[in-house]
Amino acid sequence: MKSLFFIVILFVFGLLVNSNAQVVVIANKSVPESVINKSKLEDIYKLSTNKWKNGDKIVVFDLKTEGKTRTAFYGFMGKSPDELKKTWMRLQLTGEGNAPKSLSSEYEIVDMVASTNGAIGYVSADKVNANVKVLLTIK
Amino acid sequence: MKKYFSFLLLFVVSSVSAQSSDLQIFGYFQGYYNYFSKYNIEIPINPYLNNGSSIKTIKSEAKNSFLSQQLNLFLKKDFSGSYGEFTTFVNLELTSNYSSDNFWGAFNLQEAWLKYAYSDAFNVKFGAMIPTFNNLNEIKNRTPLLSYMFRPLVYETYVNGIISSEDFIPEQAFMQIYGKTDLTESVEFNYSAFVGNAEKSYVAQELSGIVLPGLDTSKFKSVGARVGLKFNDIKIGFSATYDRDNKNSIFNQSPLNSTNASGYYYAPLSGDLPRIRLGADLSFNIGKFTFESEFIVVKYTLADNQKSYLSNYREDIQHALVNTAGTIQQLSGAIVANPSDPANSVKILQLSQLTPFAEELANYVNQTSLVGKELDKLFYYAMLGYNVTDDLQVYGMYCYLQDKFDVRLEDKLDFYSIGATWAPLPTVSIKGQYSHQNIKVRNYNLNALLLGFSVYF
Repeated sequence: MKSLFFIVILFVFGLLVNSNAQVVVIANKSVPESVINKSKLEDIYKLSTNKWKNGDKIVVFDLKTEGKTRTAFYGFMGKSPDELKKTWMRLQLTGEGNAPKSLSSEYEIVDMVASTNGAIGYVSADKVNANVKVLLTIK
Repeated sequence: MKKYFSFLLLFVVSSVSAQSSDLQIFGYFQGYYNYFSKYNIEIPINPYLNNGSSIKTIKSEAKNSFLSQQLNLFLKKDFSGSYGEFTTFVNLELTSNYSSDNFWGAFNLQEAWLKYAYSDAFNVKFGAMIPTFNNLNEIKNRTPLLSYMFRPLVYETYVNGIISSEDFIPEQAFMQIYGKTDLTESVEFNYSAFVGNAEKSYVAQELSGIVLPGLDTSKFKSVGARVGLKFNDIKIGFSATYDRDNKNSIFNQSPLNSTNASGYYYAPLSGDLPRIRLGADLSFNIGKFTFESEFIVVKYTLADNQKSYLSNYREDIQHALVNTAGTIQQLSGAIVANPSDPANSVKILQLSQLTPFAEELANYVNQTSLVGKELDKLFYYAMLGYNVTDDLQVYGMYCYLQDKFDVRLEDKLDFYSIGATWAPLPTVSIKGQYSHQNIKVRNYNLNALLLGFSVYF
């Protein structure tokens, strides 16, 4: 009984920890920057900046599904997903850019960022592994 | 030989190192129902040509129709290699219920260009493209990006019979350089400059010798540029173009330039008129509000004799027709009154020359019945939108237009519009718009209602 109670406590604690997990902006290890500010992040997600300072192309990944991570990320940028989609649509329709690839899960984002040169994405902090670097923590 | 081999090797190496994206195919279409009320428009005319009345009233009945306004298909591919990054982009456009079977609408290669991106600060595009001018020109046909269906007047093909877009905005270019750079962390400077063919009226319509249809037959070219600043979501820009406007049909190919038979004769003048279009644009998003506005002024450089000729043209050509018709009437009357007069043979000869001339004049009077006294033009519009939710926007728009080359528009045309756009998905928009146009001095009032949708795929 005691051990069951302990497991329940752990589970609830785990849920609480998970629900408050920080969102982090991650990048491929080839990216020269080690930190990024909000303004630069906005430029990257609005596709108005498309190269890192070493000249490598920035490859942007977005989360397809709504959720706490996506809400926290867009909230931090002060933009709604629809607003950014309109910006991407304008660039796409004028031939000046490609909308970021939207992936279904945070694990996929971590994998794609880890395996794509110049890639950037965002996930909750507990999904991060050693194959990517963290550029910014959104509190 | 060695040199050629090295060159070949370089080509192979660069080919091997080149990468390309998948070919992207995407597009959009917009369809709607439209209703246009009946209208009258009153234009001044020589009373002798209009049964004694100095006002001619043009009437149009109410119209309504469903319309597949346009479908655009894009093909896009990115390439990169040791020489940098390239993008190729093709825009195919089908408009107005296009059907080759029924001879409806049009199928156009709107854009086909190759872009070389050296850096954010320097890009160059070659091929057919819509040049940057103010804020709206480049995206005027991208219906998913526009809340409205009835666009600000000079961008609207609906009013092509009255307002020629090309008189206000450049429609096509062949080469454009452009780029942007950060002045400070929050202020961006952007620029573009283009060169292209002269306006459409200089382009060959049919095969003639070695000149193919679609080739620019003039020695003139269009050039233009825009400089802009962007501060967060606030954009401001200034644009200018320089080219020639083809008004030869009035300045040197009119019956007034060929004979003095009517009592009106002017030596032919150059009709290739230097034209400058100047534009300014301001747009921003603040909170739930969206604002966009543009200002365009079109200026011509005319010599004094050109100015004087144009300011009298409409009256003169109408008087010429009245005079010629009067002379024909007199001669005919004299022949009928005295059929045995030996001088009748001279009169008959005069009649045989005057009759086709009168027909030519009548054609010209019809064609040029709306020519004003000057050429300068002015247009501006402002649109204020409010995002009720992320998916629903309501807006109001006002346009002002004055075109002194058209007697209908030489005073001013006011255009008011209100509408709403609901986007159940970011790629689907349902749109509704009501607009009212009026020209007070011409007693012209038109109401329009449009209900439609736009889909991006």
